[in-house]
Amino acid sequence: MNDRPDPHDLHDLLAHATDAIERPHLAGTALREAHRRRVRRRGAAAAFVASAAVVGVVATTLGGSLVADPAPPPQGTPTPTGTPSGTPSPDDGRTGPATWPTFDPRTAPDLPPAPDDLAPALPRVVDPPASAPSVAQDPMPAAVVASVDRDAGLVRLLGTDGRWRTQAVSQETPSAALSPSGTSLVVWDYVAYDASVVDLTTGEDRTVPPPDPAAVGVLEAPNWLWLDDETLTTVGFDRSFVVDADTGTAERAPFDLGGLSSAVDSDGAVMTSAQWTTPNVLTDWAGGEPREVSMERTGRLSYLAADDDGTVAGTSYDGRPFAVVADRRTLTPWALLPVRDRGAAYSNGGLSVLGLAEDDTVLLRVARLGTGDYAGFDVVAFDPGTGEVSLVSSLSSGDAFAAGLLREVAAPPPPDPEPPVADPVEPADVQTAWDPDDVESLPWDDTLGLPRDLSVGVGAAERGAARAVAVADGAVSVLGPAGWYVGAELPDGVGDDATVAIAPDGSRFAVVDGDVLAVSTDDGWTTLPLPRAFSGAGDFYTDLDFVGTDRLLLGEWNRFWEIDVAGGDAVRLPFDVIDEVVPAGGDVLADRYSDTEVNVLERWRDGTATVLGDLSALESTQRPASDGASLVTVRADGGYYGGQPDVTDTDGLLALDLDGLTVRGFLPVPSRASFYSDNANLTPLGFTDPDTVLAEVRPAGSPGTTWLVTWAVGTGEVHRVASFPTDQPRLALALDALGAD
Amino acid sequence: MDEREFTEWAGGCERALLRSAYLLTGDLHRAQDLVQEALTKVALRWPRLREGNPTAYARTIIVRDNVSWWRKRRRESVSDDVGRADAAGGAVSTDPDAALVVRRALARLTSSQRAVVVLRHFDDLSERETADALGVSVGTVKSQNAAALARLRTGAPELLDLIGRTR
Repeated sequence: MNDRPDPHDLHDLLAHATDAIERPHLAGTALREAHRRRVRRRGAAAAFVASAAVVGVVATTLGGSLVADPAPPPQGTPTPTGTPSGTPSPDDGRTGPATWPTFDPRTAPDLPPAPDDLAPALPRVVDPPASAPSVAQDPMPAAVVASVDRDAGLVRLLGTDGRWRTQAVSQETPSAALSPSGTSLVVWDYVAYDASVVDLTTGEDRTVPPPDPAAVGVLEAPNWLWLDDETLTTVGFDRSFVVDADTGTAERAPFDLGGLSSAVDSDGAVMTSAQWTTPNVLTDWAGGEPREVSMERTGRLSYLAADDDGTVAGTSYDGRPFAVVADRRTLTPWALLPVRDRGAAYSNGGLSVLGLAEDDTVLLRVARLGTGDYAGFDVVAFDPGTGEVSLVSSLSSGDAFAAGLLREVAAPPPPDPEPPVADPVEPADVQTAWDPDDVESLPWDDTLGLPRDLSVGVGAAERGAARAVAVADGAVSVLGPAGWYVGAELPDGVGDDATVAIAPDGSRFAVVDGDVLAVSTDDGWTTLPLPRAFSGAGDFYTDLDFVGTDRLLLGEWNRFWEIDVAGGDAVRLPFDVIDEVVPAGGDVLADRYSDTEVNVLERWRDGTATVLGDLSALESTQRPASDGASLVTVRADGGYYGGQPDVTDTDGLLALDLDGLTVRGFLPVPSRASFYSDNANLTPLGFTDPDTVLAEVRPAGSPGTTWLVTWAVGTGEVHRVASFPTDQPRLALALDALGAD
Repeated sequence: MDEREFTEWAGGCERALLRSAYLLTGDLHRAQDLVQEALTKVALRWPRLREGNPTAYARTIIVRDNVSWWRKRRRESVSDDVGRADAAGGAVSTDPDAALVVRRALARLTSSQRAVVVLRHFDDLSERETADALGVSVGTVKSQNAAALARLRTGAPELLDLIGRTR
């Protein structure tokens, strides 16, 4: 092939044709979108999420956050936040946070469902049963939700296997927390200084002693939360401890969990927002050293969630209630969700941040406000990139979550593998060129059992296995081992212009003409209903082929159907006017091509069309035929630009392996004015065996005679098989029956 | 990531990317979508790309996303892109007539041929760079380029007239 002629001329024209396109200023939008997606791409990592105790369930942890005090009520009379603002404020990520339409938490149960990939371990409805086997009897792979039933002295656990278990607890007022991946449970009592740890995968439990014996009876008993699946930390002493959950070994923590709210990210790093009585800063211990950041721009965050990718989410009730998503390093807000807070119910514990999913979606816990008490709650997803809120789950109860499981975003289903793209014909694929005008010098191939003279006859030979059929003189003539015989008189309404087809094994044949479609039987014909959209008009050429032995492929210029011979059911195939649609073993193949579309090969199987690959590099492919494993087609050269053509720049017969679309062989059949390609004087009929193609050719020098030739795909050898007058009735050959005795 | 550095890089190349994407698609809005998606993907990998060739990466994203979009679309419905884009007229060029000829000429190519023409003749990529961007062999680039030019020569002579070629 040849190189471009004069690139700079064409370059200049293309540049001229686009010279008014201005810089789009997309960097800010791209940065914001990248920020939203960043974590999703890094794969799953367990993480704690910030969560909060529901008012009245003091000191119950939800994942990895503790709230020492409920947020103070808003100052003065609660102020409704008004109507939704419609569209967010600045969207370019440069001038300020996006402020999304106001969310009314009372609408949570009616929100549209969240995407299925969000928190996939959490069922859409969580409602603990009255009874379930104990963890000791029936250990579980992990639990996603723990629900404390103080009256029953149980913690009910929903497993990732979808089944519930129970864990009996001895504490009078138990609180519970699940480890990030849900494999362990810690239970404690607000008046006790020790805790119980249960390995949910084995059912074994053990007691973790007080981390600071000197504090027992002197200081307030601690609350517990998980730093990771093996490590606990405490809050509530005058100092914090890191405790090995297995051994109970404790040491002073390098952080201080005393504050308004604390969170632990997926790396086990802790952050705490300051109490109302202290300066308005968030202290972040990521990296080991405390780093204080002003919460002036976010408002004091009373519920916290953080990830290790630089994002913080929280709720703030400074002025108006908001859910805030901010940059962890600077606490610069980049998304705000105003919250309608009638009666200050939501700012008093009814709404909290449950966690951050891997894709930065914020999970909110929204209490269902009943008549003076909470009637369950909903987990609501807030997408800070789009402002969308949706319903993740509705829970009748639930006090602790496995933070890492909540954080998960299911991997999207793998995309369909890109179909292969055929490489162009390479010089190594090119066999010795063949000129059909030399057909009479070819050696004969008589192994197919066809007479060398294939002129259609209306004979009376002994009936036998059919190898070919044609319509002639009001009947279907059949070629058997002994010659031509009348297979059947044409059914009523069918004339000599009918299209005829024969099953690959010769077991039956079919005709279509106008509004009659009939299939041969042992004693005559059975007619099948034609699809209503089939015109049958003489203006359109009708194609008829067998797909295997029990289906027909019926086509007219722009429509194709697959018809079940037994029941007559017809299915319209999703192919179009310029597609070439042919049987391929038990499937159907379509070579789809137009001036503006890629030359694509599709396969119809079991009611579904699948792209097998892109044939564009092969240039024009015409009149394909297939046995289901290979494809043979007339390849028409797409032309070249300047210079001299190389050996691949020619028309010819091309065979491809359907698996990978690799070239099996290319037999050049040069012609002037596309005589053999575009003018359809060379047509492959199919494969007589996996390595042999049977083709029909009308030599340019003697087009009045049509020849059947075989092409050995692997060697390039060509043999002649038979000939017949070009103007005789159309033959249909039973390829699988050829060569059979 | 260093957002300022990314913003400076994007500011330097996004117009060229948009023009290239427009030539690939013939649709300015879809071209903007392609460029934004490419910039987003570069931003996601900025720490690793910043020392390399982020522009080549963005260009690769654009051409491959466009092919994926095209494949998806062709299984669903076919619309008249050329007619729709023609309505956009002079938004892309100071010479709307030339823009129309180019748009219609490129629409005669397969998506693969069009990508090769744009990368080779507008972005001035080498055959190897074009092959890398498209994920195909150099041989495929050569053949697609030749086939595309042949098709332009026979199917869109007005294009060559515009650049003063005699054939």
